[in-house]
Amino acid sequence: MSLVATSYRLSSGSSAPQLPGTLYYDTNNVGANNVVTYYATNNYNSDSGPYAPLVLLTLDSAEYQLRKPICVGLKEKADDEYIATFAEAELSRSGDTPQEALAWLKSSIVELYELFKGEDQLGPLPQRQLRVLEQYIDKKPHRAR
Amino acid sequence: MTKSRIERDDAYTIATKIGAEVQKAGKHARATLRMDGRIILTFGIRHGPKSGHGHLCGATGDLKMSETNVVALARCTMTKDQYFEFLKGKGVLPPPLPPSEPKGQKPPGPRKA
Repeated sequence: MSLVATSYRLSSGSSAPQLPGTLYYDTNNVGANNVVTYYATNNYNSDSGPYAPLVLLTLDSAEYQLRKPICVGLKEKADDEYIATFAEAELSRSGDTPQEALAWLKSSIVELYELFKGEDQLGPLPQRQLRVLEQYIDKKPHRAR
Repeated sequence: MTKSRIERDDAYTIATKIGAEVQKAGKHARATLRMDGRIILTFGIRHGPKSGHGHLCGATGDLKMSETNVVALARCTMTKDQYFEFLKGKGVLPPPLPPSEPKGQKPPGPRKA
């Protein structure tokens, strides 16, 4: 399967973060209209190779929105298994398809944010994860829900 | 490309072995490891019995260790204590809390001469 079969050069006015290398906007953008796929020279099919970088622009949540786009990595781990990783938040999720992996990653971002926010005390890893999530997530204003 | 070596039952085995509580979370489940009431680690468990759990493996994976070590933890060659030692080395486990004083006991005052 190729995630990057059709591509156009990224327009210069995009609000998405600039990544190193030659960037392309992918019209086969993993099926969701809120995911932008970039690629440079990555062979994302390689088990040990680099992840294909993606940018999430929404969380598909009724209650939460993103303050800024999230850079995630997507790779094909095995037959019928894709792994989406939000490395900054030390969070990974997998799925039978790229869409499944990304959907679970998005819902886990919201779920963990709510879980950690509701705790009085956290261990070192969840503390780090919450600090990162707070930089990216915000409650939607009531009118937007 | 080969199948993932970690499946749903391995993930449940690991949760039981390390004492993590498993809760349903949407379509999938979430295992939460607590120590002294504090959340130490969480990991996701997929619903399909044969579904791969590659997201548990690797430095950015939920369990913070290689696939070989995750297999070892699931299939008994790595003990809970060994895994906790590993987490300590990674800075995931907090330093132990100081022992609390028994209730009603006053701290020792200065000795009379």
